[in-house]
Amino acid sequence: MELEAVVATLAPRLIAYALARTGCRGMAEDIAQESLTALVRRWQRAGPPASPDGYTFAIAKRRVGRAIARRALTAPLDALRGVARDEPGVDQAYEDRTELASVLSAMRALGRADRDALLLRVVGELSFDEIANVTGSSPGAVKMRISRARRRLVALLPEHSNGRRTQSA
Amino acid sequence: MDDERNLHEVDARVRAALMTDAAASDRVTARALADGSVRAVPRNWYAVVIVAALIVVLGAGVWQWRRTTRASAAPPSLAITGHGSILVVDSEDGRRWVVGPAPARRTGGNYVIVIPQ
Repeated sequence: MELEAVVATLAPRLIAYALARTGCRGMAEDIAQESLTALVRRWQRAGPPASPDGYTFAIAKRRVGRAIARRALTAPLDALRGVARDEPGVDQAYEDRTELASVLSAMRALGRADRDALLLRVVGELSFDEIANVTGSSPGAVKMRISRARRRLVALLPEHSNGRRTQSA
Repeated sequence: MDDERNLHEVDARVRAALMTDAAASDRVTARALADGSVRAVPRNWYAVVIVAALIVVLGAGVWQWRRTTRASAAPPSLAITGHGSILVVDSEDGRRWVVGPAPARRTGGNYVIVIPQ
């Protein structure tokens, strides 16, 4: 598969994953771009990795962790400087998107490992083995985490605005 | 069965909520391909630049040090005074040279009469 095609396929999935983790669309795009840049450099230097998806999502996962930690550290300073007003936990620009807000809110209620596994599966479209590599656990544990996270989300997510689903808990 | 459907619907809801617009994806893709294609400066180059800078600084230091030591080893200064056509050169260490014009004609055969007073 060509590099350009792989990058184009990965971009929306990476943005969605980073958006779910950070709650900020700008930060999500930056993380996706940096991760893809790393993939492009690796591809051109040493050929494609065994699993481009797994390789890129592993980088994105690390960068998301760093970005969240950095934001936690600089949040008080940003609040003092007034920067934080433009970029709250969930982007002000998307606050009116109740569906995104409710999904992100429900996601935050999940355990970190469960949430990560579910996002890598549902949004990242990685296989169980790839998720196991990225998260450093076994495929069996990954399956269990995803199943648990799904059930939890069904209970946490409010009724869909257009009434397609009734709340089960 | 209903439970299974709910689980799949959750996946669809999560995907739909986090869906990215095509413009953002295209932007990220284009930038990643452009940034990734730019040849990154190899780390060895940084080492070479740092070593070269150190050599330059060290060389400048040595040159400056040698210049100052050479200046301190310079001969003592001389004071030159003139008395008519005669130059008197006084050295710091007490030596003195008197330089005058060459005699116009040879004075061989002249003599001096010394009269005690």
